[in-house]
Amino acid sequence: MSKPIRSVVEDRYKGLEFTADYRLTHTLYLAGEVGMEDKRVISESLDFNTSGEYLKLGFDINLFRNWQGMENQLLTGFRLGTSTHNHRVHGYAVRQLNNIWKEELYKPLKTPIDYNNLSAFWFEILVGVKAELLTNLYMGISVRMNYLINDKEVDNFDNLYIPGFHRVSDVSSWGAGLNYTIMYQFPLYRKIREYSYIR
Amino acid sequence: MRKIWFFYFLLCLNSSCEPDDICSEANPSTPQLVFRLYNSSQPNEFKAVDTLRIMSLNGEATLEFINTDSIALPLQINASKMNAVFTISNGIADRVEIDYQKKDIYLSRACGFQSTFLIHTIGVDQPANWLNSIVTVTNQVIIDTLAHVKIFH
Repeated sequence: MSKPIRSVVEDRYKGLEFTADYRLTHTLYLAGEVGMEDKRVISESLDFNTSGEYLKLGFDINLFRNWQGMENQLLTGFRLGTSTHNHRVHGYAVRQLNNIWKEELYKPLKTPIDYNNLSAFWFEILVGVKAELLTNLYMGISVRMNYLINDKEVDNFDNLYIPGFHRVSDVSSWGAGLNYTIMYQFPLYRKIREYSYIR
Repeated sequence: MRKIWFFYFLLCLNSSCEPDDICSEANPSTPQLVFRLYNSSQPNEFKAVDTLRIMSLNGEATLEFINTDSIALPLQINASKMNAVFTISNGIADRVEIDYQKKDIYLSRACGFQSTFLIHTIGVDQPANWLNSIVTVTNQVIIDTLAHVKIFH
């Protein structure tokens, strides 16, 4: 639920994610997410927009031993994630320590600079809980640590935000995420499908 | 099981507090144009000036250097041509015109961009009063730890 909430509450953000998992054994689930994000970041030094799609695939392991008939989960898991995205720079500040000529150092761009066809590849580990609220309707929350394995280098800019990965740090390959989900189980196929929104 | 949680605990420690929101003084900035002053009769020797004032033509700002043979001039980032008057003691002045091309290079999230310059020409109004000649050592102004221009006087 966090993504539509965030899309409404947070200015300059749009995001949507669909997730699904499929039970392989009592404790092992095949799991994945697919989504899109569009985020504008405005700071003193930069004004840019990142938009794109992402796909994550991996496994969840349920660590919780349920009573007979219960389907609650305390889970840990991992994902491999990949994105295709674009950046658009709307303006930037030129760093000038000795601004003796008293120039305007912030430059809004009349024609934004586009950096297209970018991609990234990362690894996520997660811990989370999932509880059955109503029959076959589940609500979950998970915390994720992301490790950026590879990203396509941007000529004269950087991947400061990656859809699905979120904020990228200049000094570390690690990132983090929080995920609230609502999912529905299709009992005939012993298959769980969820619609979720990531933060 | 306990091992797994310890592993996650380590990961959390690892990721805490990333200082990439702060652009500190030590980070790179837009380079200045660096001049070294040489003796025109002994071209291998530095020759200091007692005082040197550099003023933009409209007189908005003045840089002052005292008893030095090395000066750094910030180029204007919103222009491609700069005129400055170089005045030494006793009010002897020469007008210098610098023609350049600017390119903005990305630095980081916190620092934004820096400008770098390609110097086309540096000219002195003739007849010159104290600046005998100007020699460009390198026309690329990307860092300012080394001199770009030699002034003989």
